Amino acid sequence: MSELNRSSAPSLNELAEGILGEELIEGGIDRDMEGDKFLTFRLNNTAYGVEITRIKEIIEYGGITRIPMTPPSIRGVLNLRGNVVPIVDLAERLECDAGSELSRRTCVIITEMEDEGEVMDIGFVVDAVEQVVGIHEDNIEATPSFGTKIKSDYISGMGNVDEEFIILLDMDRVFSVTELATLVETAMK
Amino acid sequence: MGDSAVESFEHEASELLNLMEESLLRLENEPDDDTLINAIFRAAHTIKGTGGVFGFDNIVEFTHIVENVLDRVRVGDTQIESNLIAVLLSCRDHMGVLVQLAINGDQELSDEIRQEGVSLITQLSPFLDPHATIAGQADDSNLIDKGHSEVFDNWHISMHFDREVLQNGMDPISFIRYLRRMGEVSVTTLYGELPSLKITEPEHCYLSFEVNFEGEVDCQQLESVFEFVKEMSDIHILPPTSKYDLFAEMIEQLPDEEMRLSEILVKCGAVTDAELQEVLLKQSQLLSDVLSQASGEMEIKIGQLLVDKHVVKQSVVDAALAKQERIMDQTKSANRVIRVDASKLDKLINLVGELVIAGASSNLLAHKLGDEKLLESMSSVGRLVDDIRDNALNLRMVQIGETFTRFQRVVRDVSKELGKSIKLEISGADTELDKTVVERIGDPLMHLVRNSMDHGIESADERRIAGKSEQGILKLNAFHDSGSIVIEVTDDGRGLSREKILAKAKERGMNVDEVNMSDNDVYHLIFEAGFSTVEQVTNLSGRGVGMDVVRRNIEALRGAVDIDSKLGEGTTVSIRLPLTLAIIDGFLVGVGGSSYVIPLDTIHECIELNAEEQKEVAVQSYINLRGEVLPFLRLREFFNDRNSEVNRENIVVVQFGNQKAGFVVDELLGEFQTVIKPMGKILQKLKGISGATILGTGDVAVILDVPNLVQRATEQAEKMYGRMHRADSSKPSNDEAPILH
Amino acid sequence: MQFNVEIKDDVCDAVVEGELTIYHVNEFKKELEEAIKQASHVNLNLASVSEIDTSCFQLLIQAQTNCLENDKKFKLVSVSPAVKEVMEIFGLERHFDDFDNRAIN
Repeated sequence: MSELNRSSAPSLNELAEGILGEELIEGGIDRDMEGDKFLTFRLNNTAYGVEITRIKEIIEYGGITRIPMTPPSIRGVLNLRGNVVPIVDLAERLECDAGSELSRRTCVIITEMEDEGEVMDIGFVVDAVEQVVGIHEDNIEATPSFGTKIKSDYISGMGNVDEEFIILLDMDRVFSVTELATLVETAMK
Repeated sequence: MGDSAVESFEHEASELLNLMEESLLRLENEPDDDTLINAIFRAAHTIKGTGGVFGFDNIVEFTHIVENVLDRVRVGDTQIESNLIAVLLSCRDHMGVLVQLAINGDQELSDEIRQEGVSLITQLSPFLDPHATIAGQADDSNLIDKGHSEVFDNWHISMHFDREVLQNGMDPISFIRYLRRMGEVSVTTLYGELPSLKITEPEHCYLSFEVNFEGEVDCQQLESVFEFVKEMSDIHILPPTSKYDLFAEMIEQLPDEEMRLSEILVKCGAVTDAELQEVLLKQSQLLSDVLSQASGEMEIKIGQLLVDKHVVKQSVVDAALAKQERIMDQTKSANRVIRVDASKLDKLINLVGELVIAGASSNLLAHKLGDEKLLESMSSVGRLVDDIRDNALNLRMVQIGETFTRFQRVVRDVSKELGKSIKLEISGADTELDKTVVERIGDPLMHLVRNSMDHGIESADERRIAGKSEQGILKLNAFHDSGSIVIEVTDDGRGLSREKILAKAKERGMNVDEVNMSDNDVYHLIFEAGFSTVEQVTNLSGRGVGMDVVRRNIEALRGAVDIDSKLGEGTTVSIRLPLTLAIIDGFLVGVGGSSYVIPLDTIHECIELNAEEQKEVAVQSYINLRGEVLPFLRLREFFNDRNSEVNRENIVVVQFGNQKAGFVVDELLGEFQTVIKPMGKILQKLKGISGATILGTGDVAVILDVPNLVQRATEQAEKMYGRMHRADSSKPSNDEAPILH
Repeated sequence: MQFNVEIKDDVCDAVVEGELTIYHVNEFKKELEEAIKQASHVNLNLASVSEIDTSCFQLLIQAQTNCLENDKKFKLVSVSPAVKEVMEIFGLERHFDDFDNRAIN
């Protein structure tokens, strides 16, 4: 349960606090210039970004139970304070190469999705959470029709941060409840 | 008026309407049962009374007339006959409509509904006292000597305003002034709520008024006077000729503050202020004689004096006194039954669920530590947790009886429409199950019942030719069976025809194996999507919903439907449902490094396989279990788990309904109880898995959907053993043994 | 509204003129309390009241009750047709008389 997550993961909490906490964001960035804030993370050496408002929490990787007969894009479920939360294998979902091997920095990002008025938590596994950056509109470029390994449908734009391009995910598409449910249903047949 | 108050009115009214219906139906067969007519009368009376509290005048007006008829039946002036029952049933329905409209805030009746009401009253009129008049018409009956049906000649308007009414620019004076223009008005102003000068809020309205009104108006005209102040007041308008009962009711409705009897009587218009003043004067003389009297007795004296002076009837005083006592007793009576918000119960049950999990976790730790004292104390905590769990779940358990009795009416109405004579027999009405389950079986049951009446039971002519009694019998039965509740819908009709079903299935383009399908499999076809045909859906069997929907609804409740039929003799559809959707006793098994929960009540036995049997198991998909064929599933393969081999294999024999199957697992980890956690929308459609649960370790374990897996095991075994089919038996599995061996 | 007070020998003669409506009710309350405080006989002359509403009428009843509770006397010496009409409307024509009588007896 929650204690289990907490007790063994002080480093992670510190990490998360450091990332999400104000001090880091304040650090030298002109607030008016920074634009929307994104949480960046790595998956198989590619940098991705997700709007910070879509992130509910970041937890240590572990305690994931595999569910038999599910498609590979469903990694399993885990116990988040008494609720059973489905965990998506992001690499599978994006149809790119599998993530790196588990490390101390592997973690699960929990996001909240709404479907027909019902709010539910969905988690996804990433290799490492990096930082929170503000990316101004001007620094977001349209989705290239080629050149990325993942389906352009799942990309909302390419963020330019210090000359590195970050793939910004279209969360509503990647974690569409209806789509994921259909995937599960089809896998049954 | 608070929403919650209206809600509880809604709840109460629907209970009472159900009671009324049930009693009316029984009254048809037992016309001499006084308790029934009394129950019906009380139900109508209470609906009228509470309706009045909320100012639902449409309900009050209509129910009042119904009540008059019921009262005559009660005292024996009118005889019960089936005509009357039929009208009263329709009246009960109309009351239901009025209640619903009132709750939705529609005080304006549509022409249609108004017409319905008028037509019902016309139908009731032959049963009414020829001398009595309908509410709303004048009656010149004598005020005093009329027994308990004492009549007051004028309209009575009770006006209570919200405190803020003055600040909102309305003044009671103008309403009374307006009334004075419409007719003769006599006002009694109640100022008992006025606070002292020091603490008063001068802009608040503390006065309320009881108005006696005489004039040629109808209720709507009077209501329209208060149109603008409707939101800010509590106005009751009582038509003339309202009986003692109505006044007694008004007494009931007055706000439950402690009130002096005199005030109560004045408030409800039974005495005027002037009369009271006179009596008070008399009382003060008496008082000087008996100085030591307690105030309570003193108030009773006022009542006595009023009766002595023939100002009010004793019965009115009694009612007022009863009210006074009731207010004082309220704390006592309130303790007997408490209405609890269902969401509060759900919250409690969720918490109990957490407690169960936390308990399991502590237990695990205690076992690890091995401290005997700790283990002992844990086991007593465990027992308490069990008790709490059972009790908490029990709070939500309700008898299925109420759901069943609703069908009396359905059967009565539908059989009339169909021109068939059908009798409903109910058994097992006291079988309990979770409220959340009860709420969701109504629709499937309705469909099954209608289906039986529509297609199962033959017409009287057909029945006679078939040598059956003309009256068809429909049975609803419920009982507990190995941790489930079984609900059966049985008819003694024509039964299912294998040929017809197969023909229809082929017509629908369904894939059927005419030769090899067992009867049972054929019968099950009617639950397939797309089987329901247009000609099958009459206006009775309803809204184009097929049996497949019934099955899906049941399966969504972790239940299953089975069907048994004999051509010419009848059909039984049985629904098997879990008793609760919240908590299960589970049996934990290990398969390839993961843990799975099998609902304990589905487990028949566990068998450890010896080396010989393991070899046998490796090549087959069934074993011989004490002469019985047992199809099984190797869960590890089935779940596509690629972990390394284990040496020991066990078979968990599960049973669902009358089908048995084995699950081959690696480890048997023991029993434990747990809370079922929903898997969420994404994983909802997973077959073979019915939910998830959280183990003592904090890990999630998957709960196996036994019915589904048993079905798969059977299919798999049948595939491997092509010959295996049940050509002529409606009983599955057990009967196959001779075929195989 | 005008509230003119004259106090002599523990008797307060108050003459109220004009409108007694919710717009004046707070002022009316203050004046009434003041008048009651200053004397043990309060005579209220309402002959020149052009209008009275429920809020101010309530105050009359409260003032009277207050006096009664404190062994003081409260009397309406004269009422205008407007006040009389409201008394009739409320069915309280005799209300102030009754209490007045009882206070005297």
